[in-house]
Amino acid sequence: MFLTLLKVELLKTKRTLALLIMFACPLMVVTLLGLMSFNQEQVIDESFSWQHFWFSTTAIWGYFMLPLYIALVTALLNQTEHKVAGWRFMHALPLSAVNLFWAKATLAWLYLMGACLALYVFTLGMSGLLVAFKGWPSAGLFDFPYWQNMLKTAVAALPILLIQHIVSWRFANIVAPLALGVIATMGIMQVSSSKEHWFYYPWSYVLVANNNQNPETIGTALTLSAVLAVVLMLVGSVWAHKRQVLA
Amino acid sequence: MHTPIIHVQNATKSFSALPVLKGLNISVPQRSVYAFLGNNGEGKSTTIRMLLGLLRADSGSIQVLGKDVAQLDKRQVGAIIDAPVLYAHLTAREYLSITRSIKNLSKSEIARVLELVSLTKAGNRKISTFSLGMKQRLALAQALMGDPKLLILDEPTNGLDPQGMQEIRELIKQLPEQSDTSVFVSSHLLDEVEKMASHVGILRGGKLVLESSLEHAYKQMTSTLKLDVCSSQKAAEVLKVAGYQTVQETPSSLNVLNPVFEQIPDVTACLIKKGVQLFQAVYHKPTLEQWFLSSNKQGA
Repeated sequence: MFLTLLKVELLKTKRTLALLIMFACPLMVVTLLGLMSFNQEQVIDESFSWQHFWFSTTAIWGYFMLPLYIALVTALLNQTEHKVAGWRFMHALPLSAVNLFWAKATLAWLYLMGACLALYVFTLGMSGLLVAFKGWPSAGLFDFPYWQNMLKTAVAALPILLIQHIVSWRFANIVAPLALGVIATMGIMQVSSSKEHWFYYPWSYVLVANNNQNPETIGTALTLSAVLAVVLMLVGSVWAHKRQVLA
Repeated sequence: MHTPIIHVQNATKSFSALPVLKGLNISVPQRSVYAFLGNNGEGKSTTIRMLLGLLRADSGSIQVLGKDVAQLDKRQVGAIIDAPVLYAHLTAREYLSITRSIKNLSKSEIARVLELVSLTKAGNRKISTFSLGMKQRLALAQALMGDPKLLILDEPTNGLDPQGMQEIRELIKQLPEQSDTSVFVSSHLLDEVEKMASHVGILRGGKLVLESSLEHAYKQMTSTLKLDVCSSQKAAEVLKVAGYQTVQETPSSLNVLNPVFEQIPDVTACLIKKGVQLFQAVYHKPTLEQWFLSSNKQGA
């Protein structure tokens, strides 16, 4: 039933902006970095490394676009129901509310992974342009451990994805999840650079997991993400099960 | 004696301490078309949501298809709740494929229900291009998928043109016999209900104030035969002797209460035989709408 619901939810995103934003958000990040790279003079010597370019890409993605993208995609998936009172239609069908909750969360996560993949492809594309038109060397282009990075994102982004999903499910007004996304994103830079406080701020976990230099801190961020995700999964499941359908 | 397909006992439901249902009792016979009537805000939608398990009753018991609503097998239930819920960006076929997948039905089911509601040609069109009537028919098609044992419909003919109304009405009427489906339908269009329902229940003040078969309800309705005569007093005396109950309205008109249609020749013959001049006789049988409105006045 879960897979059936996942397919149903995927079908519901047909002809929506889901696919467009999955490509547009990472493209914006890469375009921004590409423009900056084209406008600055890069010293090409033995010390040159692609690491900095990739690092910048994943950092901007992690502290700016990714949390906003999560807010957008979870809001979009839940607005599909809020807009047409689809909750009552779905709940009148033989399905479990918990499965529906999970199907939407899983689809949001898959779209997130799709966006991360798109970020990789676009970054490679931009790198190609820098090689071709700015004379950057192609050597070491693939040295950055992007897949490892993506794996960490897959875990570290779960708490915020679930928080945004629960808020989007709960509130019919799209302003609520989007406001949360925007406000929470604004605090990432400040909180994630604080050694004492990043711990309490789930929006900083992706950035810490991917861009922190200390392996122990990265491990803590990932563990914390996983634990918080499990707690949110349980809370979300119980809540979805108990919730009555008013709209 | 068959188990009722819907059996609600003393159900109560409040929202923020505001009681909506105050001990609701409903008994819907199998293979019936049960019209659920009530004014806006009386709790019809709340009741329907409780029957589908979308809302939980604060107290009382709700049994649907012989089981507690919490254990209800929703594969056997089709529903339209309030206005039809349609994902406008999907085509009709895509929309129906949601129910098909979840109810695990064959692909041919989509074609079958589309044909049932005369939407076969519009199957690949986006729902956003549909008229209100087409949307209503599509919602009905969705509810009919998988031949449900129980169909719960909220205002199913809303937005339909007269021909569409008739088609849907005929479709609903045939369901109990053709596919053993019982229908629970809430509606404000009382003349429509009258044409398709076999049973009726009236909700007022959070309780069912009346529940009966339509046939029985008709027997309860007071029909009248209005007579314009030369002297209503003389006519009343003649008819009293003949065993009829009358009410004088004016010196020249009176009403015979509860006559059967077939008694009209006898009434007129009595009067003429006794020399009462009869100018006009008008037989009046109240409609369900008049009955509902008069019961509303009584309850007010």
